[in-house]
Amino acid sequence: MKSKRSVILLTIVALLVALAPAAAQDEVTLVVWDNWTRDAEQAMIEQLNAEFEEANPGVTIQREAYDTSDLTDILPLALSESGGPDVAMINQGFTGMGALVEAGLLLPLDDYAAQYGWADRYAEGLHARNRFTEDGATFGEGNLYGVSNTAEVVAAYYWKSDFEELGLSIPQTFAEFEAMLQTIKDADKTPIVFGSLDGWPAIHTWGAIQHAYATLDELDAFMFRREGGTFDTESNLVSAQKMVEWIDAGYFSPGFEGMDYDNQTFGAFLNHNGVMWITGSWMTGSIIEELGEEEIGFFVIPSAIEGAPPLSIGGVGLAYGARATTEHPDLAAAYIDLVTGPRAAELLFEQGFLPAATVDPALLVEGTLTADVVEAWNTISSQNAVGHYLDWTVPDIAANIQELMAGQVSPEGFIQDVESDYQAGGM
Amino acid sequence: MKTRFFSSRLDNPPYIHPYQAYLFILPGLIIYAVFVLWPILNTARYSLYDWTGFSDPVYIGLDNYAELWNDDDFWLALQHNAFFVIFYSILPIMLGLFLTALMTRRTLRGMTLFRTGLFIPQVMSPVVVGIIWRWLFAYDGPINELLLALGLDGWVRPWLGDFTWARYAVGGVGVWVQYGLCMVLFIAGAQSINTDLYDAAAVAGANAWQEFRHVTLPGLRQQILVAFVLTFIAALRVFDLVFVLTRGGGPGKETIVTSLLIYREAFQYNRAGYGAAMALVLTVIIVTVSALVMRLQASEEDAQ
Amino acid sequence: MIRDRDYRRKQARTGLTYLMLIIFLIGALLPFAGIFLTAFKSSSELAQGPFALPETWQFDNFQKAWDGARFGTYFRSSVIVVVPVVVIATILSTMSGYAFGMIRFWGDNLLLLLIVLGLMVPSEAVIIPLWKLMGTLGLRNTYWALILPQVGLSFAFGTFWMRAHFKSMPTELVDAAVVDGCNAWNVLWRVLFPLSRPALLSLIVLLFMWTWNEFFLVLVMVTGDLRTLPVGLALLRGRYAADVPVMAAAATIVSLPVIVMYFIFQRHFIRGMVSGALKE
Repeated sequence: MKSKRSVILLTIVALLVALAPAAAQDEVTLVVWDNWTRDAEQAMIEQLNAEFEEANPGVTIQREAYDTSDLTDILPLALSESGGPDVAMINQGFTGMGALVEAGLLLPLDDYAAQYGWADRYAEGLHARNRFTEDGATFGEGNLYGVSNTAEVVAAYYWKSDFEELGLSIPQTFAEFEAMLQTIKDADKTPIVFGSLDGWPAIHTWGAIQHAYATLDELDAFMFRREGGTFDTESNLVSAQKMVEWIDAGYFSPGFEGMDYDNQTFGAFLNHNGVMWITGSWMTGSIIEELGEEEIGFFVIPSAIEGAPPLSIGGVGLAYGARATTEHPDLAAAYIDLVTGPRAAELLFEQGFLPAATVDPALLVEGTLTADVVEAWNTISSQNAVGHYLDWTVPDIAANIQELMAGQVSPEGFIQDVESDYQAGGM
Repeated sequence: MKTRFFSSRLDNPPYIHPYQAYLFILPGLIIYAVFVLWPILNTARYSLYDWTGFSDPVYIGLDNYAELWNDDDFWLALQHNAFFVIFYSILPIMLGLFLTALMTRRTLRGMTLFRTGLFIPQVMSPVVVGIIWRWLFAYDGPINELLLALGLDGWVRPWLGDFTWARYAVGGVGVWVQYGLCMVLFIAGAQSINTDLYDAAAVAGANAWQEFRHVTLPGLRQQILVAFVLTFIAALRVFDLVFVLTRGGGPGKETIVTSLLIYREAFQYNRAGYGAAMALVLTVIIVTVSALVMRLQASEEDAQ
Repeated sequence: MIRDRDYRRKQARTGLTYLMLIIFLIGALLPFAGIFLTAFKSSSELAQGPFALPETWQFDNFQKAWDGARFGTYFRSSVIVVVPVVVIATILSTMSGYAFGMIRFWGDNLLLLLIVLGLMVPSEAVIIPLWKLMGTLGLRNTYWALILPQVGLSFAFGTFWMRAHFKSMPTELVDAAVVDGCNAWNVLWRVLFPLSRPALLSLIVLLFMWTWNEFFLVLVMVTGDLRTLPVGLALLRGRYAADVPVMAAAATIVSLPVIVMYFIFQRHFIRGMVSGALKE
C-alpha cells in the first residue's frame, strides 16, 4: 500500500521535473487592470489582448475589469505590494496619479516613449496631463507616467430637428449661443437639458461657461498649481454670474437640482425634453445606440473672447501606466504600446469612442454624430484649446457649484469658497 | 441596585459552572479577535500617523485629532448623523412594532406573503434603491404629481436637490429600508413569547392595545434593545444610502455624513491616517451611547 | 345577539388589519415592481418612469446580466462564501449567546461590549489594515479572505442577538426541560436549540442577507472568478452612464435568493413553531 503510493508520488514528481523546463520557458503572466466593463468594450479589449498574446508567445494576459471609481479607489493598495497589476489604468490629477508617483509606485515611461515614438500619438500639451515630477508635487511636467487611448471633449449635443424648426445654426460666437438659448426659450422649449444631483455634471455645465470666458494660460496655472495659479479671477466671477443668470432665465431643465445623470438627464435628452445637452463626448456611443447617427449633432461652444479658439473642457481619458516594481517592464511597455496605438484606435472608434490618436479621415461619414464628435475634438486639439476638469485640483467643487446654483452663496462668495479650498491644498 | 460591568452575582443553575461560559465564547472570539478586533486596533494606531494607506506611516501624535477638532465638515457630518437617528432608528422601530402587532396575534390568510413582502425593501441592493427613489423624488416624479393632484402645488420641489428638504428625503428612504430589519427581529421575538400570557390577557378582557402594551411590548424588551443598538449604529455609520441618493452628500454639503468623509479621506484623498482618526471618534460616540443603553436596560432588569 | 355583534366587531377589526397591511405592502413593493418592470425595458424607455409598461418585454437584459457580467461565476463564489459564513457563525454565536444570556460570569458585560465593538467601527476605516493582515497571512485573493472576517462580524451580531433571545426566554421552560444530570452543553443543544427556531431562523436570514450583499470587502480582497454577485453588479456601472435596465435585471437576480429564503422560512418553519413547542 505504502510503496504503491510512493511510486505514484515519484511518478508525479518525475513528470513535474520533466515538464518544468518547458513550462518555465518564457511563461509569463501579465496582470492588467482596466475599466472596460460593457459588453462591447470587453469584446474590444479581449480582441486586443488576443492579438498581444499571439504576437508574444508564452505571454498570458490576466485581465481584471473594475468600475472606474472602484478602480481608482483600490488601485493604490494593489500597486503598493508585489502581486498587484503590472499594467493599470490610472486617473490623472494630484489625488490620482500624483499620489502614486509620490509613493514611488509608478514606472516612469520616458525611455519607452522614445523607443516606441509615443510623442507622436497626440499633442505634447495632452501628454503633459500624464506627467509629474518624481516627487509627485508638480503636475504637468517631469516624467511621463501613462499613455491614454481615448480623448474627451465636453460640448453640446443638439436635436437637429429643433434647430431646423427654429431656424438656428451652429453658433460662431458666445453671444450668438446665448441669443440662441433665448430663442429656444421663447419657443417654449427647454434650451439645455441638465441635472445636477450627481454633482459632477454641474462641474461640466458651469465649466463650459467658465471655459468660454477663461484663457488656457489662466486654467493651466490653476490646474497645475503654477505660480500665480488662482481661482479668484475675473473670468470665473463673470461665469459664476452668468450661471445664475441662466438659471433665473429658465434655460435649464425644470427641477434640475434633483435630476441624476444616468437615468433622468440622459432620458430627458433622449425623449426630446430639451434641445441641447452639454456633456462629454463619452455619451456618443450610448446616444447612437438609442437614436442612430442622424438625429443628433454635436458642436463646441464658442469662446466669449473675440478671436479666441473655442476652449472646452476635455483631455485624454484614463492613462495606461505600469507598476514600478513589475518584473516585466518591457512587456508592460509593449502592452501599453498596443492598447494606445493605431490598432486600438481603430477598434475604439468602431465602439463609438473618441480615440486619443488621430482618426483616419476616410472613416468619417459626413452628417453623422460620430463625424461631428471627431471634428469637435480636432477643432480644439489642433488649436490648443483643450481645457481641464476642475475636480482634478479642487475635488469638492461640485458642492460649491450646487450652492451657487441654489443661491446659497453669491457668485463672489462662491469664488472665495473655492479659492480657500484651493489654497488649503484642494481638500 | 447599581450595575457593574463585572457582575459578582454568579447565581447560576447547578448544572453550569461559570468557567464554562468562557469555553462557549472562545471559538468565536478567536476568529473575531484576529479578523475584526486586530484590524480595529491597527486603525486606532494608524490614527496617530500621517499615512496615505500605501506609504510608510509617519508618527505625528495627536495631530490628526487636532485637525479633526477644527474640521467644520466633520462636525456638520456628525450633526447629520444625529439627525438620521430619528429616521434610521426611532421611526423604523415604531413602525416595526406596529407591523408586528398587526401580524402576530391574528391568524390571517396570506401572512407569509405579507411578512415576506414587507421585508423586501431591506433586501434590495442599495444601488437599486437609489435609482428607484431618485425617480420617485424627481421633479416630474410620482411624489410631486401626487402633491399636485392633492392641490398642494406649493410643496412641489426637486426633493433630493433641495437644500432644506434633501435630508428629510434621504431620511424617509432610511425609514423605508430599515423598518424591515426591526420587523424581522420583533416577529422572531414575538414568537417566543409564552402564549399563556396572551390567554391570561384574553381572560382578563384586555383589548388589542392593552394586550400589546402589557404582553407583547414587555416580551420584546430584549429584541427592542438589539434593534435600537443595531439601527443606532446604522444611523451613525450610514454610507450606502446617502451615496446612492445624493452621491457626494449634496446638494452642497446638506447630506454629508461621517462615513462618507471617512471613505473619501481613506480612498480618494489618500489620507487614511486622518480617516482612521475620524472613524475612531465616531466609534467612541457609538460605543458610549450603546453602553449607556445596555446599562440602562440591565439596571431595569436588576430592579425587577 | 351579543355574540353576533362581537363577531361583527371582530370581522371589522380583521378587515381593518388587512387594509393597513395592504397599504404598507403597496408602499414596500411598489418600488420593487418598478425595478422589475425596468428590467424588461430598453434604455430609451427609462424616462417614462419605472411603472410604464415595457413596449416589448426584453428578456435579453437578464441574458446580458447572466452572461456578459458573468453572473454564473459570481453566483458560485457567492454561495461558496455565504454558506460557510452563515453555518459557522450561527453555531459559534449560538454558543456564545447562550453563555452571555444564561450564564453569569465575571466580566460578561465588558466582554460583550468588546464583541459588539466590531459592529460599531465604520468598515471604511478598517479595511486597509485588514487588507494588510490578509497579505501577511497569505490569504489575500482566496475565499478565506472573505469568509473569516465575515464570520467574525457575523459572530458579533449573532452573539448580541442570541443573547437577547436567550434572555427573553421564559426560564420556567428551561427549568422544566432540564433533566437530572444534564450539563450545560446538552442543555444548549438538546433543550434550548430546538426551542430557539424563530430566533435562529431570523439570524440565518439576516446573516445570509448581509454576507450575500457585502460589496467593499469583496472588491478589495479578491479578483477574478473569486468575486461575488454585488461586485458583478457594480461592474454594470459604466464609466459615465449605467446601463440601467441590465442593472435592474441583475439586481433582481441578486435579491431573489434572500427573498425566497425568508419566504420559505416563514412558511414552513416558523408557523410550525408557534403551534408547536411553546404551546404545549
